[in-house]
Parts: sequence; C-alpha cells; structure tokens
Amino acid sequence: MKKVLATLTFLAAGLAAASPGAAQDKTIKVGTALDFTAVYTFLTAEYSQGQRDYIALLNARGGIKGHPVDIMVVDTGNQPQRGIEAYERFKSEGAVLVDFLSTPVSRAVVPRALNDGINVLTMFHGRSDAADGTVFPTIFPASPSYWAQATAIIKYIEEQEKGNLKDKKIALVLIDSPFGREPIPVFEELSKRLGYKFSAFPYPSPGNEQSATWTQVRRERPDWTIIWGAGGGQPVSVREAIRNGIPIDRLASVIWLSETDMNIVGASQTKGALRFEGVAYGKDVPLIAAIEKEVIAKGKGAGPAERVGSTYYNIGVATMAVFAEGARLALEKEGGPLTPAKLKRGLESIKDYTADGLLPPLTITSEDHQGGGRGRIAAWDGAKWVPKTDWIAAHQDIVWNLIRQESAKFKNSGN
Amino acid sequence: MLLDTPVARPTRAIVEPPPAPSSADDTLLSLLARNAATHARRVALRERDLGIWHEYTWRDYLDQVVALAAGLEALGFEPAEPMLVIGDNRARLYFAMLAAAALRGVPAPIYPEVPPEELAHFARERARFAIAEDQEQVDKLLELRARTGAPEYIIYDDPRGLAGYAASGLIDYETVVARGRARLKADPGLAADLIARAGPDDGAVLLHSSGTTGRPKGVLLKHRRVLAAIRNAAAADYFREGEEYVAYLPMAWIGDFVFSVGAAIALRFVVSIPEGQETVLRDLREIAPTLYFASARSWDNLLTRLQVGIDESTPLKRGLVAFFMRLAIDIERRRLAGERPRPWWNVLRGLGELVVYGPIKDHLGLGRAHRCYTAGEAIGEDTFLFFRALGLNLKQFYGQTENCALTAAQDDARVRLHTVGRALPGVEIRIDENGEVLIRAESVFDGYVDDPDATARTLVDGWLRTGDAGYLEPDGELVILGRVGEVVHTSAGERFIPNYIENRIKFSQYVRDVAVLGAGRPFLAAIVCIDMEAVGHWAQVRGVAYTSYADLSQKPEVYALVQGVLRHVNGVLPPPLRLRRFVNLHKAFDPDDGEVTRTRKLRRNVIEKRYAQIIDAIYAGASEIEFEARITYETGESGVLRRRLTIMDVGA
Amino acid sequence: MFYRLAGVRHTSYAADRALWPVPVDRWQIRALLALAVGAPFLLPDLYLTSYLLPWLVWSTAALGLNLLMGWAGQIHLGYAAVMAIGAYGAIHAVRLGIPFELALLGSGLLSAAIGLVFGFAALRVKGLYLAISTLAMQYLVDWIISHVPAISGGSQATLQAPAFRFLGVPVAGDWSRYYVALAVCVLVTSFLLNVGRTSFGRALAAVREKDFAAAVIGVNAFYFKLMAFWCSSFLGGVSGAVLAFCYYRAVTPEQFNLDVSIQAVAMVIVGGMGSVIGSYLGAALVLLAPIVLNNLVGAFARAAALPLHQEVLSHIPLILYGVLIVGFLLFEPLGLAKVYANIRNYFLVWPFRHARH
Repeated sequence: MKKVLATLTFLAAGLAAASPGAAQDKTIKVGTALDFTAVYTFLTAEYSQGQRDYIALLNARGGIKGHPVDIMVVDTGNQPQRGIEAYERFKSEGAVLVDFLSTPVSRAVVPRALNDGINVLTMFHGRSDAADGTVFPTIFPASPSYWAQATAIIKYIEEQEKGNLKDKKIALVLIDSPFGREPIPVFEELSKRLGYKFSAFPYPSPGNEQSATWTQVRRERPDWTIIWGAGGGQPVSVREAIRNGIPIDRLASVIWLSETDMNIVGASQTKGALRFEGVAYGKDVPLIAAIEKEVIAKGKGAGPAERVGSTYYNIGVATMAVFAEGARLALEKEGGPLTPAKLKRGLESIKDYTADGLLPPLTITSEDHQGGGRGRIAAWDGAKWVPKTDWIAAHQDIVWNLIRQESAKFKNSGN
Repeated sequence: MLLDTPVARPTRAIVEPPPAPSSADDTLLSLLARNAATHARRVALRERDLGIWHEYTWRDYLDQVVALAAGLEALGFEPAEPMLVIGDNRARLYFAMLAAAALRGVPAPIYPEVPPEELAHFARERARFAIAEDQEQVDKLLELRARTGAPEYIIYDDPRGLAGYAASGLIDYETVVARGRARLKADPGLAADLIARAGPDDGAVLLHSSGTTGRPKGVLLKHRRVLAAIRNAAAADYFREGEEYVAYLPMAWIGDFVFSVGAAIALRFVVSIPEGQETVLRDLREIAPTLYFASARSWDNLLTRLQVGIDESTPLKRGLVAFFMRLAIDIERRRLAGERPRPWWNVLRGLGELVVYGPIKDHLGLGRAHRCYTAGEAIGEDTFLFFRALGLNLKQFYGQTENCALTAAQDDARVRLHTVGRALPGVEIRIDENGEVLIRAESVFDGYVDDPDATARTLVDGWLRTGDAGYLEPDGELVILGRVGEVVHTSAGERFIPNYIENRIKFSQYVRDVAVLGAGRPFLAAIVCIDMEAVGHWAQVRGVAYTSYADLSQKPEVYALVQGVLRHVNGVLPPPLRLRRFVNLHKAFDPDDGEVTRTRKLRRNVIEKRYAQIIDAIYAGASEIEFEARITYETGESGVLRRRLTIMDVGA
Repeated sequence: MFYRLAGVRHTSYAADRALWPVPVDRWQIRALLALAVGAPFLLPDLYLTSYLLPWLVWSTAALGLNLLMGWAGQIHLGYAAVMAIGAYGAIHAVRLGIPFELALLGSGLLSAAIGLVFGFAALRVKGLYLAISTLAMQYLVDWIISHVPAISGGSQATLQAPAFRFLGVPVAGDWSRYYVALAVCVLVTSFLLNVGRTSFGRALAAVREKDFAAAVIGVNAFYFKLMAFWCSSFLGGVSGAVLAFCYYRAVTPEQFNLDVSIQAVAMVIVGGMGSVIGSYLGAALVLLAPIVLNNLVGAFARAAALPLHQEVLSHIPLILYGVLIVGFLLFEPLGLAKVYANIRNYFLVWPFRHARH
C-alpha cells in the first residue's frame, strides 16, 4: 500500500518514456532540458525557439548528411534533480548531445556526463573551466567564458581610453553569487597589468533591490561601470545606473543584457549602453534570414515570428549550428550512425566556423573547448544593438591560467 | 420450523472416526495428567487479563490443580463434599473444579448472576467450601453464610476490594495454592496420589437442570458419564483433537463443562477465556476459535449486530454485502434443498469469500471456525441460512443436562433446519406412544441428587424421559417440536405449542422476546418485547426520537413495525391459530424478575401472573391499559411504575 | 477486505506494542523491503537512479525534519542548510582520507552541533519567530558556503564527491550507490518508527502539544527541544551526505538553497506531520510529481499533437502540481499519511463503516 503511489508514478513515467521517438537508427537525438518556469525564464523561450527553428531548417534541408535530427525539449524548473532525471532519460533515449542552459543543472550533470561520455553543450553558461578539454573531454562551452568576456570588455575600454587606463576607476556591480564573483580574479589581474583602479560592488541575489549598492557606486565615481548579472537584476542595474548619474555610454554589461531589458528601462533613455556579444544580433545575419525564409515563412516556426533575430533567439540558433557543424564533420570523417564519441571528435575538429556570420570564427580542439574566446562589444542605439568592434579576443593568457587552475582543482576533487 | 420438505443429499463416505479419546477407566484427572506428560509445553488454557493473554500449558494446568487440591485438603476438604463455584469463566475457577474432583468432591458451579436470595436453592447441599470470582460473589456468599451458616471457607480469585474484609474463612486462592505447594514439597508422593484418588464413578460435576418448570434439580454427572458422552461425540466427528475453543458460556451450564473441561481435557483443546462477559465478542476475534458454540439467541443477536453495522456502512460496502449475501443465501437454500452444486456457485462464492464472507467472518472472529453449533431453542431460518451462507458450518445438536448435553447432532451431509440431527454413536433414541423422546446411553446420568421421586419419574427402565415432544424421520433424523407439557388448547379446542409460534416471531430481528397467549382463551395474542438495539437503530434511521426502552416500545411507528412482523408470521399459520391482538411491553423479559430462565426460556406462569392485568385487557378488547409495573432495582429493592400501554389488533 | 485480524493476540505488553501487529502489514513491509532490495534488478537504470534513489534520500531527509516538526512540533526553515553542512562536511572529510562510514557519522555530528546552536533559538521563541530564526540559519550557511572558497571549492563553487568505499566495498556504480542510500534510509526509518514507542518520543509529543504543560508533568522541555534539534540535524546531515555522495556526486550551493528547505517543509506537511509513511509519500509528491507530470503532459501533448508552445506546455505541469498540492491539503489537511490511513481504515473495517465492538 505504502508505495502504491510510487508504483503509479513509475507506471506513468514509463508511459511517458514509451512515447513515439524511437524512429529510425539514422535519427540523431539531441536533448535539451531547459528552465522554462523558474530562474532562466528571461531567455529560455527565445533560446529554445531558436534551437528548434534551426533544427527545423536542418531537417527541411535533408538533415545532417541525410540524418534527421530529433530535438527533445523538457522543462527542469532549474532544479538539479529534475535535470538529472531528464539527463538519464535522454541517455536512455540515445541522445548524443544534451543542453541544460542552467548553471546549477549543468554542474549537477557534469560528473554523470563525464562518466557516460555524453556531450554537453554549455554555450554561455556552466563551468568556465570546462574549456579545458583535457579535464572535461565531453563538455563543450564553445563560447567565450565569463573570463574571456571580462577581458574583451576591458580591451574595449582600453581602446576607448587610448590605451591608457592608468588611474582610471573601473567599478564592477555584480550579483552576489558564484556567477557574479567569477570575473573578479580577471579584473584584478588586469588592473595589475593595466594600472586601473578596480572595485567590486555586490548586490544580493536575485537583484530586485540594488539601490544601496548603487549609492556606493556613485560615491566611487567610476570612469567605467560594468554590470554582471542576469535576468531580472539587469534592467534594475541599468535603471539604477541612470538614476545615479552613471554615464550610460560608459556602462558595459556581461552578455546577459537584451533588447527586452532595454525596453523595460526605456529604449531611448538607455541609448548608448554597451554589452558583450558572443553571437550576432538581428535578422540580417544570412543564417537567420534563411530560417525566416525556409521555416518561418512556411509556418513551421516553433514560436512567435517577432522573436526571430532577437539576442537570445540567435544564441539558441548558434548552439545548434555548432552542434550541427560538429555532427557534419563527424559524419563526413567517420560515417553514421552518429555516436557521442564520434560527435566529440567532430566538435573537436571544428575550425574557423562562423555559421554564415552568426558566430565569431570558432576553432575547437581537444584541448581548447572554448573555441577562441572571441566576442565583440555592441551598443544599444535605441532600437537595436550596433557592433562597436570586430570579433576580438584579448588577454587569453589570463583566461587560460584561470581555466587550468580551476580545472586542476576539479580534477583533484574527484579523487 | 419446517422448511420445504428437503431431499436428502447422498451421504458421503464416512470419515474414519478419530481414536477413542479415553477409556472406561479414565477420569478427567488421569487424562489431565496424561496431557501434562505427553504435551507438557502445549498451551491448554489462555486467559485474558487487562488486554494480555496469560497462557497455561498442560503442565501448568496440572500443577495448579494438584497444588490447589493439596491446599484444599489441608483446609479439611473431604470426599463427596460439594464445592460451590461462582463467577464468570476464570481459569482458577476451572482449576478449583478439577481440584475438588481430585479430592473426590463434587464441584457445583452456579450461575454468577443468581441473586443472593436464590442462591440458597442452589446451595441447599450446605457446601462448606466455595470459590468465588471476585468481591461481588464473595459478598453474596457471605450473605448466604449469614443466613445458613455455610460455606465455611470462601476462596477468592480476584483480591481487588477484599483487603479490608475480616470475615473468617475468607482465603486468597494464592494462599491455598501456596499451602498446597508446601505440602507437595514435603510429601513427594502426594501429587501422584491426588491424581489417582478419584475413580470413574466419582462425581465430576454437580449441575442444576435449567428447570423450566419448578425449582432446579441437582444433576450429578460422574467422570464415566462425561467421558462417554465425549467419546460418543468424537466418534461422530462432532469435535476433534486440538480445537481452539472459547469458554464464555456460564460455567454452571452443562455445555460449558462438557466443552471447556471435559472435551478440552480429553481432546486437548486450547481453551481461551475472555476478559469478561462484555468483551466476549471483541475477544472472540483475538481467539479465532475453530470450535464455537452459541445459543440460537446469540446467533440472532450476532446477526442483528451485523445487520445494524452493515446498514450504517458506506453505500458501496453495503451494496456488495447485500449482493453477495443474497447470492450466498440463495445458494445455501438450494443446497439445503438438495440441489446439486453447480460450478458457478464455487466461482461466485470464491469471489464473495474474498470480498464479503471472509471479512465478515474475520470480524466475528469465526474465520477459522470449522464447527459451529447451536442448540437449546430452534434457530431462526434467516439466521441459520445467513451464517451457513457465510460459509460457517453451523449445525444443530440436541441434548440435555441429564445426558451430558450430547444426544444427537447433525452431520455435514444432513444439515436441515427443522431437525436436530441423528443420535450420536452409542446413544439410542426412542419415541414413546405419547410422542416423548426417550434416550438410553452410557452418558445418561444416575439420578437427581436427594430427589428419588423425580429420579423415578425420569429414569424408567434404563431410559431417560426427556419431556420433549418429537418424532424421528424415516432416515433417523430427530425432530423436536417442544415440551410435552407445552401442548395447550384454546377454548375452542385448537391444539398448539406457544413456543413454536414464539420462535417464529422471534426470527425477526426486531423482536427480542415474545409470549404467545391463548391457552383456554378464544384466540391467540402476543406480548412483545422489542429488541432495543435493532429497533433503536431502525428508529434512529427514520428520525423517530425516543428516550428509553419504554418510550420507544410505545411509539406508533414501532407498533406498526411489530404489526408487520406478526402479520408475516400469521401468513404461515392456520387461520384459527393466527394472532389477533398484541401489546408491546415496556421492558424486556428479565431473568432477574424471574420472567425468563438464565438461558432465556420463558417462564409462562410468572408472565401470566405478573401481566394478568394486560392479558385481561387484551381479551376484553381494550385499546390501551394503564399498567402498574413492578420493577426490581439493582439493589434488590422493588418499586412501582405506572405505564400506559397500547393494545393493537394485528389485522390482516 | 485484506486485513484479517482474527487470531491476533498478545501474550505480553511488549508484543502488544509491536510495530505491526496486523499480519497483512507485516507482509506489506516484507514485500516492500524485498522490492526495495530487488529494485535494481527490476527497474531500468533510469528509474532507479533518477526516481527511486532520490526518493529514498529525500524520504530520509524528510524523516529527519519530520522528527523535529511532526514529533517535537518545532518548525525549521533552514533544513537544507543542515543538509548542506552534512554534505560539505562529508565530502571534505572523505577528501581528507577519513573512511566514508566515519565521515557519514561525522557529518551528522557536525550538522547536529551547528543545528543545536540554532536550536537554542527554539528555547526562547516559537512558531513564526522560530521560523524566522531558522531562516536566518539558512541564509547564514548559504552565505558562508558560497563566500568561503575553501568550503565551496573555488570560483566554480563545485566540489566533486570523491570515490569512496562503504564497509570495504567500493561504491562506484548506480547499484552500489542505491544500496548505500537504501541502507541509510532503512536505518533512519526504523529509528523513526521506534521513536514513537520510546519515552523520548512521548516526551517530544508532550513538548509538541504544550511545552509548559510538558514541564508541569515533569518533562524537561529545555532538554527535549534541544534533543529534537540535535537528532533532527544529525539525520539531516547524514541525509545531506548521502545526497551528495550517492545522488548528486558533486555539491554546489544551489543544491541546498532556500527553495530546497521549503521543499523539505512541504514534504513533511503534505506527507503528514509525525508520520513515517507520510514522509515517504510527501517526498514522493514534492520530488517526483513535477517530473512525472512534466513527462505525462509532454507525452500527452505529443500523442495528441497539441499545437501548444513549449512555454505553455512547461507551465501546465506546474499548474497541475499546484492543484495537486492544494487539492490534497484541502481534501485531507492532515496530509497524505492521513489519506493512506483513511484508505487503510476503509479496508480494515471492511465491510463496515467503523470499527466494531
């Protein structure tokens, strides 16, 4: 009697598992367990839409070398145990690659994925030190880590200040979490190298209330202010910055600042605000245009058409483009069916891949899973994001020092 | 009492009877010693005290009996001396009975609810020794002693409340046993001597015939008689070795002695004694007996309780019970009528066993009961069918105190409602020219104590005259109609046995007792005592408010209910014997008022005398009567209450 | 219907107090234990590792919290912090080379010691005030873990659970991890089952009903409140350690944040305060219902080809889950344990409505 309920749930879950999906052997399966309902809601819907639209484009064009792709999507609510359940289910379904778009869930799954040899795509989230392919053979950040984003932002500031940062004050306003604190070592290291004065101002998670922090920032009178948060805290940061007289064109953000945030604060008020960009924005990118023509126009889109080309939509497209490129290379070299191991080798042979201009040139090797760490700085012009630089990468030595240092810790902790 | 004429089913091969449980030289003591030697660690008695079952093995049993006997002897107990045993069933009271028997004395159990003034009837033997269950019984015995000078020694089981008593001769059971143990220690040969002292022709127990007519008469039963009766019954597979039995019926009733002591020792039963009379039904479930005896009334009460419980159950459960019980009763009716079993019976019964029959039997504590018996009065058709339909092997038997309770019993192949079965092996039954049932067997007693006249009237030419009117069917099955003396005539000369009609009326769950009037009167009428539990629930369901039994009995709705019951019975009676009028009595018949016997048989003369006012009013055609009720309080005092009772015509 | 009570009797008061006097219950327990032991052979790994295993661990944790909330009547909103202390304590201990068994005990003791400190709050405040003080513990522990890299494991704030042996057997695969969790769960369950029969359990109940009334009848409320915090924290620490080693295999602060504390409290309340089986049922509902609902809704949407957006689809299970929890509590405010008891009782008195006699 005691476990009747549980038995029922197992039956139910079993029912769910027995859903149609076991198509032909040729089908390549990708599992995405995303957070649609809790913390990452600000981007998940657009991100997932981009992923599915791109897969639709791929399949419409005949799949990857004739292999159709099946993308499984479930919600995790940002809960590690639900992520683990989804991961185990993807594993039993034969997924070659999984994506969780959640730092806590990715972190919880990493030990299992490393053990099982299943590829985890962690673009713009997850462990930065996973860029070390020798320690994390199947984890693929394939994007500039937060450390690389920090160096790129400093590089831009350096250029704006004509290469002289001596005695300039740079303030970092961060969410008080491991994510927020992650870039601090980079800024500190660079301040030694470039001579600027660095100070960090944490605000408590989740960031709805930051006024006390920004009062301190105003007192500091920084020359440049960098905001490091995500989701609901970001528009609050921007609004507080404006209210406290921080010059808006000297406010730069980590990658998580979108047109939605700007519209919340006021599209025109925020003109000039800067952000790091790892994926090109807008519909002008050839790949996005192709999706619009071949998928959206035919009514096969996975969501509202007005989202196409948005920041997070394009990031979603980029993730699947990287996967597809890896899969293509693997199938080309080793033939089907695609296994996780083949895909890993395929991803590690990606070279200067730009996804028709969507991405900075990406080169992944078995050691470097970051892919070059390139990105660019874009400014908000009141309606859209305008690139201010080329795809740049800077101070990668600092980045890689940190990657190696942290991955070594991880390696040791497992034993 | 007659069902549609049943067709006998073919008799199945006779099962080989179990080995004879005893020989002619045995006594209960020698068999007890045998059990203690061969099954020392096997549980013999279980007694519930404060929720916990205390167990006695056969060795403990013998040990207690011998020690107590030694202690009694030290007090001066002599052979042939009676020993009063008074109280509810308790292990130590059983030990005392056997200890007295070991000393060749005569244990004389008495109904515990006998009021002090009646105690003298039972105690006319001037017993010097008595064992009492508790303070209440000790008080009664002390009162008796104040009146008659005996008993000299009162041994008590439960010392609660007795600490301050200064009366002489009042001894704790433990003290007597301790004294006995001291003697046994000092004299190693004493134990064996005590076991061997009694012979088969010594008295095993002194009981009193229930005495529907006149005062109770003393019936002395020897070891030889009791053991013969048990041998006869065992030969008929009436019970088997090692049964689980529950000792809850009064110790003064022959059945209890035969089952709980005689057969229990001869066949090594495990006898369980409930905590008290109030907890019997509850404890029954903990005991789960394999052998169960209850009077027809008890079965009726049980059915009433079940029906009340099911009536207030949830619709689903109620529906399932109704469906499966209807089904099972139908199957049982057909089976008793001799129809061949059909395969689908088993399928449906199997399902019903899981869903309804098994759980109900489990609730009753009869889930393991392979042999269920009833005797005494005829059992109602509904009740009989219901319990048999549940899957209980309920059978009737016939017996009397004078024949150790075991005369005839139904066997599995010939269960019928109107018969009481065939003579047990070793028992001869004859019907004399007046229609009276006569018995000859080794188990028949040797005569009433100190009453040669009654003995001469009862034992004639080696035959026991039972006083029961009956006949034998061609296949040897005995049918009992009633008491020979019960046949009466209306003033128009119509013959009838009131008891027979009363039993039919009492088959209704709403009627607890009824007295049918009409001897020497122009027509038949009834005094009805409603059943408080069943009618109370019936009233509750229908929103009829009432305060007491008396109030409830006079409700017009209740009158209508009883009227319906009587009309139903009238439907099967010949027109001259139909009931014309009835009255609902304001109280139930009570043994304390002498209206019924302890075994709930009507005392017609008492009722006719006490309710003469009412009876006259019935036959005078009155529609109500102001009755002066004499009531007896618990203290023994009596008072008068005025009651206005409605008298109603039964109608068509 | 299934419960047969005839012949159930006791020859001593000790037997009368047995945990399962009814034979059917005993058979149920045996069957469940056999199923639990045989689960790795019966269930696909997916269900073993991501349903049964976390359920067992969370039930263990819920039992620990239930001891405090259900038995002793003290609320605790920082139970995840207690578990975190156990998890981090055990991982650091094993990394320092301490055997797992000792580390497990040590993590329990560490949690108990720190939990006891916050238990002192319970001596002075009650109800909502106690809730706030324990909430403070949650925030404090969270903050300390995430701000001390030595504890949390560096800027990535993740610590891998090192390889370990249990009773000399290396615990590496899913099966062995499951059996470790099962062993701890069975131990904790039998402890809780027996608590109610001890003077300790009765003292806790007295304190729960009214602490100064308990004091009047000679129960040292001071001592027993602290004992309740101590025991509960010990169990929390152990279950946290098991969670880290057997389930997550790596710990991060998010695994023990306030949400998790709330979930633990929900397990106890939805399951039934002061009930062992309730802790299991509550853990099942709170932990597994979202996952199962999610899968069911997904499968249904796919099968019926519902033209719903993923965002909508993802929120339906959430709504259902909320309805489920509120529904259960409206239907039976005493929790799932009471629902179970009602069902059991329905069959226990079958075919009657009430117990007879």
